[in-house]
Amino acid sequence: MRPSRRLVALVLALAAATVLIGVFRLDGGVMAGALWAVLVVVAICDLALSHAAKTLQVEADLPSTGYVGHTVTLDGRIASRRRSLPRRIEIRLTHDGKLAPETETSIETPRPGQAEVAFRLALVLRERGVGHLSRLSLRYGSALGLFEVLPTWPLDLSIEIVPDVAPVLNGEIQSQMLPLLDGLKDMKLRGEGSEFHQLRDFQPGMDPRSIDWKRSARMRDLVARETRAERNHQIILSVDSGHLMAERIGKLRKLDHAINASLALTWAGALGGDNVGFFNFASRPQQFIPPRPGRRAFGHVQKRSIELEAETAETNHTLGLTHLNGVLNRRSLVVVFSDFVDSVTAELLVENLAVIARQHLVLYVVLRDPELDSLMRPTDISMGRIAEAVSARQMLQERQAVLDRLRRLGILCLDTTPDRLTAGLISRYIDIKSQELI
Amino acid sequence: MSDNPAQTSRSGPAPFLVVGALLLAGLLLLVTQSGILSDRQVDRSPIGVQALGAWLDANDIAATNSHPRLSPAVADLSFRVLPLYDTNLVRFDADRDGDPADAETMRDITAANLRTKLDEIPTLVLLPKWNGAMIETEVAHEQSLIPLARIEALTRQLDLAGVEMVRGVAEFYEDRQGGHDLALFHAQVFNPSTLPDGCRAEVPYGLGALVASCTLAGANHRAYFASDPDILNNHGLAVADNAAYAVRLLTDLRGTDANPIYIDRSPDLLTRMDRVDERQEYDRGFEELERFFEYPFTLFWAALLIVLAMLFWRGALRFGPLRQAAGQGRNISKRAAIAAKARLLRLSGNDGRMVSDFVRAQLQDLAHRSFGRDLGSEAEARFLALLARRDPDLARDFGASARNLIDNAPGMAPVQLNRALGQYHSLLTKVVEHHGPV
Repeated sequence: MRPSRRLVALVLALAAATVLIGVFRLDGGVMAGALWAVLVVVAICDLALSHAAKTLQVEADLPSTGYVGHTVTLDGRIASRRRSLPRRIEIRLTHDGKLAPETETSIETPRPGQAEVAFRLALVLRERGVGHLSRLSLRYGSALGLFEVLPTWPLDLSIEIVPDVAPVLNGEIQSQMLPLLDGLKDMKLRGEGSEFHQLRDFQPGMDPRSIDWKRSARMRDLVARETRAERNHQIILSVDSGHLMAERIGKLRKLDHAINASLALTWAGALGGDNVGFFNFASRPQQFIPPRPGRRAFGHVQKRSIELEAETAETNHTLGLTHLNGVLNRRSLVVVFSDFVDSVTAELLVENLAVIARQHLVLYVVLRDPELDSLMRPTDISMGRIAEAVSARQMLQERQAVLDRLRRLGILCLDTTPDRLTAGLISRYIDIKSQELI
Repeated sequence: MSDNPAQTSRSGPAPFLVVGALLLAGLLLLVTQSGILSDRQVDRSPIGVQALGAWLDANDIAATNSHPRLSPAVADLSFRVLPLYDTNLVRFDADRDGDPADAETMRDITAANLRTKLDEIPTLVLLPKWNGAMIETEVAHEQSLIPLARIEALTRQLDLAGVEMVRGVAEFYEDRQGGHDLALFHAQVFNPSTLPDGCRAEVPYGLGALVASCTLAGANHRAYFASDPDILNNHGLAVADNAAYAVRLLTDLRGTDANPIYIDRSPDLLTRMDRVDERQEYDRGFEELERFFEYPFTLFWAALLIVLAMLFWRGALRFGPLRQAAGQGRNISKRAAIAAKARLLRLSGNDGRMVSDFVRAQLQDLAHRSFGRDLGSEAEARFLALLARRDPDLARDFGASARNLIDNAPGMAPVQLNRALGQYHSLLTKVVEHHGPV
């Protein structure tokens, strides 16, 4: 409990009155004392009429797991052993850095006579790991508004924050892969892949070159060969966890965006019949999970990615990518999630990607910050804004120059915003499969 | 358009210039009006007495040089050496406006101040001999001598009425005094027979008297007058045995008093005015302090304590957790880098080139959105042609405004640039409305 602003204002006013009494009256001690006594009596009455914190009961519940970047709800209940609750209750949570309430203070306004109120607080899951809620604090005013009562309750609630696999679970990846799986996608190459899939009865409109004449003669009817995209390719997800990947874009860090997209691609690879491996590097090479058939790989990648944290050191691309090149024994699709600051610091990255691209197909994925785009296109034209726009454009141009150089080296690049990353990556994977680039 | 950073950067050096100018003016005023420089010049010149103090110190005779702002107590001094650089004690600043070389008054002193100085302690007054030319040229020439008539007029103001001065020819005249060879150029002596009553010759020199002493009315000591200042001044001390004789002369004249000899180069008095009634001794005891704890102060203290206690109580309790530090380094680094670069762009003072670059980039951006990248130099023309098919007037105005800024912005004045930018922005808004976001 602490004095409210109203009480502080009253005390200041009484102090001013006391000074005036002291200045203008020779025997004003009694009068000043009486004024203060009135205030004390009013304050005591206020306390007697107010809801005591002991009469309140608080319960709260938090889901045990949640996806990073998503919002979960803390459901709770405030009940009073007396017949009513204070008219206005403010709620704040003490939490660690992995969680963040959407609003710092939420306000509940129970109806008069209501002895119980339920509250729902939205929490944004900002980082992977175990988020912890340690304390719930309430604030409500006393009956006359002279005091603020500040009771707190220890909560000790935890939530395991895991990479976002919602697109996997809700079928989003599967539906995106359907064109490849069921041949609905408009393939650039005739025959929808080079691997034999099955024989079908020839229907008018089908490509006559797909007719398998030998089997047609044997069956005395026209049958066509149906092919599909090749399977059992190796996909290596190579995630940089250096300090640049700790930059936050939107709600999440770049590393979290990369991990979410990696898991989505792992699932897509499983659906596409490919083997998926995982590699992580920062200042030095870290764990390498060898390629496995997709669904088995998913569990391993998910487990490894939960533990993955961004380092504070700079990434050593030479060490990381050379190590990867050494452990790969057959041509693979290497998806590199990494970042760079400018064309000078990207030199080593370009050189090493060029080396690895001699044997493998490299897809370089880099996240674009939408804030830079908004800076580049200011809505008001002041000199300060123009200077920011010019400097943001220079930064983006340097970035573009590096990506152009990579493209000229035959490296595929995906430069996209976080919200389009997963869909863009899956789409690019389907293109690679359908064009048989691997 | 708001342009605060520009205003701030432009008004940056102005206050410093004003402060610098004021400081310079103050220093100039101090130097020119206070006469500090000319005073020092006199003291360091051949006719100054700066060397005397050092010489006496070297001979273990305590000496104190006068200071422009610090004055020793008269009781702490034994004897005063007072060189006169004023030929008329009743006229102030007579020769300052003329040629410094002809000046006979280098340092004004009033008759009243001189009389007070003579009354305070035994004093040896060095009568003037050389004019300003001696200071300027540092050559002892006949023409640098002050006419004897002027010096005799000065002696009348010194209550030495009727005394005659005799001056030697243009060569050193040597005489032996107290075992030392005393040499003076154009030696200037009193005619002993013309000394008034109450005066007597203290140091004979040739046929005249070099130092005479006179009784002062109302004082219990005598005043000494040296007819030739060269026995003690900078150039005289370096000649023959003058320096050794100077020590002996001053030792003899001051007698047994061991206090320092005061070399008085200031026309001001040591004590300007004796105000005995200003200083009052107060007896401060605990009663004075106790009055702060009697009525009405008790009321004031009580009110103050209550207010402080209330504010401390309110400030000590917090509702909810501590707030996180705003913006962690990694998350704001890119934004900070852009802001810093933008600021450097502004500080470089090339607003025009920056605007030109910005407009060109915006046009290219519009063209890229319409036709894709890699259009090269044709991008702007193709976009304007596209716009012209939809709205010819708007395309003409927008193209002209953009081209004007691209070509001429570097040479535009800030006001003109702002106006042209405003026009460009309003046209751009119309283009975007027709054509989609930029």
